Amino acid sequence: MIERIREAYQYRSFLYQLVYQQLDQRYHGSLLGFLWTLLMPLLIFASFTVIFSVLNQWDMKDFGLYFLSGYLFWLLFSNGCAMGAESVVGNAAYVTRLYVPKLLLPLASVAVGLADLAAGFVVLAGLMGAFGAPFSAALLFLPAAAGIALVFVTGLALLCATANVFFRDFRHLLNSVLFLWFFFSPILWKAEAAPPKAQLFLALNPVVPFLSLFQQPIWKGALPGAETTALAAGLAALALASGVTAFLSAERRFYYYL
Amino acid sequence: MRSAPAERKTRTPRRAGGHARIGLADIGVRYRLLTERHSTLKGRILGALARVPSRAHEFWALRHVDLEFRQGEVVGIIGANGSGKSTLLRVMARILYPTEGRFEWQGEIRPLLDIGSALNGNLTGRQNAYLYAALNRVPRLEMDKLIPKIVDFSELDAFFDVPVRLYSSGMAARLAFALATQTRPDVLLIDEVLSVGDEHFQRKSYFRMMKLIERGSLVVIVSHNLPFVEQVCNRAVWLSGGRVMADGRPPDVVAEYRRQVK
Repeated sequence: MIERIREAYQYRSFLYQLVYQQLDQRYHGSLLGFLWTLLMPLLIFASFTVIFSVLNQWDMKDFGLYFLSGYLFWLLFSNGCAMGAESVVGNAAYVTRLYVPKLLLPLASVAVGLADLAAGFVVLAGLMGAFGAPFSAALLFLPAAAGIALVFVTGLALLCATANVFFRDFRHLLNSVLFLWFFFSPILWKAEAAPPKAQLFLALNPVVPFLSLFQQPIWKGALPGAETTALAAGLAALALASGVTAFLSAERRFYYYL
Repeated sequence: MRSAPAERKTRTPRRAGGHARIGLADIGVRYRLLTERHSTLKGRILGALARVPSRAHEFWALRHVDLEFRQGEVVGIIGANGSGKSTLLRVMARILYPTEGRFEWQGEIRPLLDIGSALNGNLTGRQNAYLYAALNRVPRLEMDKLIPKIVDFSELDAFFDVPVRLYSSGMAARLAFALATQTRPDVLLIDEVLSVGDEHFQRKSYFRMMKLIERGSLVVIVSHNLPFVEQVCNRAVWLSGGRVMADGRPPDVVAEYRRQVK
């Protein structure tokens, strides 16, 4: 297994090519192309902010900042899972026609998601400037938060990629689950506002600690709790370990299913 | 009966030359012909609930194949359609992981299985060269140096900076062959690609292959062109029904194959 990870590293220039190709395809020939990918999340952000701040009777600027901080993680997470699920099946040519370490295919999807997160941080900075929100020192925690989240998402992308090879309807199931999961996670509402009976479900929802890693520094201007950070790091390590193990033990059978 | 599949690579420094080797020990490849029921979660669950036995149709594309190829050999693999030739080549290219048996190799393997496998139609010849380099662990700086040779060998001139989808099949084959052979392969695997080119290109690629052999490479060619195998190869393997029927000097193997076919 170590040998195969080392080999994947030797092929890293293929990873750069894949990421470059996927990003290039988006704004192929036009500046607007890049905007199209940003447009959908921006529209969702703007309309949800208006609707839910009114519904929740919550100050629009404050709610906007709260929502965006969680939404940044959510986009990384959900796109990582969805694009990860497609990464092997969608790039079947690289599996059935030549030899490359297949591990790089989901990794490229996650790298594209990371580029989107970077764009999201730019939007965040602009919004904070426009709202006159204070830039606190806690924001310096965000690279660490992004790093922990990235490990988690990488693990899940590997799991989703593996599942989608063997079960082609997995991504349809995944999209439905992600859609519901979004509303059942404290992104549009605060965890503290949930009724006591729902606290158990919140404790079982693995994305909650990750949301907190982003919400605390951005919205509260405070560092996330040490316990939350440790929990997120533990979940991330678990996800990565199971993702890599599942992917590597299944990849030799991919050809037969593509 | 079923041995655990294992794969081992003996590390060799790059471009050492003269270390090409391929070893196939009791290789078997089993395909399952999957139905819709087996490839979806819904199908699996419904199938399990309805207690439908989930037996997929199976067949062995290769079975008990023992072969060893060494540097300096030009191996021609012959056999009827569906005899397992392409599957064997895919195992050697490491695309297909065998169901059973052991595959060992030394050196850089460059498959030339079909033209599309090496080239992306939307990219230009030059971009394809760099993609090829990334796919085959050729450092970018080395590819910078190889580009003039590739342009020269493929005779593409101005077309080198045109998207590959606009190429004729001969042009694409020339580029694919140039990429595979100019990047110093130790093992070259060829699946009927040469038949696309014209006579001039076939002669040129023949000489190029001979040069690789002198340098210590190993070439394996799948071909239906029996006179070609007799002329070019110094070893021939005849496959039938996924098994090795004959292995030896090309004239003998080809004669035996011809006798059997008639």
